[in-house]
Amino acid sequence: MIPAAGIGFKPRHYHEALTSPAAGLWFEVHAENYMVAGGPRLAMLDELRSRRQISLHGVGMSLAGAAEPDPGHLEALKRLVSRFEPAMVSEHLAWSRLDGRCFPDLLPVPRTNEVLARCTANIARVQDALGRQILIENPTHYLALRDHSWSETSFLSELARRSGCGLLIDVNNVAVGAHNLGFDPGKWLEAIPGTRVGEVHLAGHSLDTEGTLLIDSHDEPIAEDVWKLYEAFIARIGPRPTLIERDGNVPSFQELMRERSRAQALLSGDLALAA
Amino acid sequence: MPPELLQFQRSFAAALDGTAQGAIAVYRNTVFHGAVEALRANFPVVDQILGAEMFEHVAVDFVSTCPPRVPVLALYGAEFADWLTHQEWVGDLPYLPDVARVDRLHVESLLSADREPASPEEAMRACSGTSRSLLLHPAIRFSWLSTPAMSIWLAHQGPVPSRIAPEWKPEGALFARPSPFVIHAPRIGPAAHRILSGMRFGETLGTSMASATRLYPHEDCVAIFASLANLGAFIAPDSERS
Repeated sequence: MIPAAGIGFKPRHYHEALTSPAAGLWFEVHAENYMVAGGPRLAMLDELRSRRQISLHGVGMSLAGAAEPDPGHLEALKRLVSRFEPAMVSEHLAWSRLDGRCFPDLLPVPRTNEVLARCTANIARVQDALGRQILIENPTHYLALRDHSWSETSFLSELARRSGCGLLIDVNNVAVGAHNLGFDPGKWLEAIPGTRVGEVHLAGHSLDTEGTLLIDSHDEPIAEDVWKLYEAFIARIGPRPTLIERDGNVPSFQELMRERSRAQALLSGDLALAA
Repeated sequence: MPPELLQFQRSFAAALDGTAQGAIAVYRNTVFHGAVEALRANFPVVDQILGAEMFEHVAVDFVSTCPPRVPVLALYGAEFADWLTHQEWVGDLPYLPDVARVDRLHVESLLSADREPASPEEAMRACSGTSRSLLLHPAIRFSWLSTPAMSIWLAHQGPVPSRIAPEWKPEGALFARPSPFVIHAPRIGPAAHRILSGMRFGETLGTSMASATRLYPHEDCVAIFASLANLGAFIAPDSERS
């Protein structure tokens, strides 16, 4: 069976999501938005899950931070995984928690041996608690940090080898980072071991107000250069579950499904439809 | 903890709190944007009253003082209403902290645990003492407010806010959510508030009813109780952990 394309679930699209006839359509949600005791959010996701596969995408585990995963947060994720039995569970190579404060962002780290060891241990703890593999997403880059000991692709590959995690490759993050830091996104993607890749993300980006940095804003359609990178990546590694992400300027369900259809056509090898 | 990583994180956090420029400003903007938009989502009527631009200024001040402590932002802003009371400018909008309290009650009710409420018949049997007492439903939230904030909040629930001239007097706010997609949001009077408050603090239903009847002899407390039961405000004790 060919892996399918999915879209990020938005409550405003609830009824269309439930009734869409699209074969293989699946939905991804941010796990933290559902770490609540009850109410309509969980009820909607229960209903969606009864008809479709879902993916839980975490943004708050702070796996690349110095601290171990917060036990309460890990327990909340475990409850969600147990309740919804998601097809995929993913997190980020980033940190967002420090000294009792949480930063609603995915903050960067230098790729050192120390960070590799800490991150490996944190991922292992999450995987042990959940009893399953998780996928780790490559971050967006705005800042050229000093003191990297590893290239990003080598770091991700080694992290996957040591921890047993899979990789979630966000092609838009690669394109944005390549623009901001000045590397070749095609070569970056070629260096990723395809066997480790369990999911791909596609999203839109925008220019910052000064017109210099690209921002991973998720508020625009997927850019053509990102589609080209994706097409080459999938051609090399084979089809993978692919998510269309949109978090700002959220369009109609139909518009998201048009982008989803394009990804699905590429996954199916139907280049005429994907053009 | 790995010392160099910890040191890096603390330096980065300090940079975010400073006058960030260039790439650091992108991270800073995202950190603030995430918290501000979470606050906006959790206090939609405060947002309507202040307007988007003013809300953003207020929210940035609040986020600087009370940043998120957990990554689950669905309940971010527990201190917002009290924080508003200390802002000098809020003197022009004396009802605003109470409106924020109502927004908060609403969000808490929406995200609380689901339970099957006691049926009205079951509740009336408990009220008459012929069956076991009742407990409050886990998704019930209520408060007594010194301003007509619930009336103001209710006027902002339509697509276009209603024009109201509320009588300037205290009133109670109640949110009852008997099932995931059904929420009731009535104003309540002091007798209903007394019944609910007593039960919240561990009184039996009988004690709460007796106190409300004594304090408010002109109110029909049994009828008030029946109305609360119809909204799904109670659960039977054995369904507490169901």
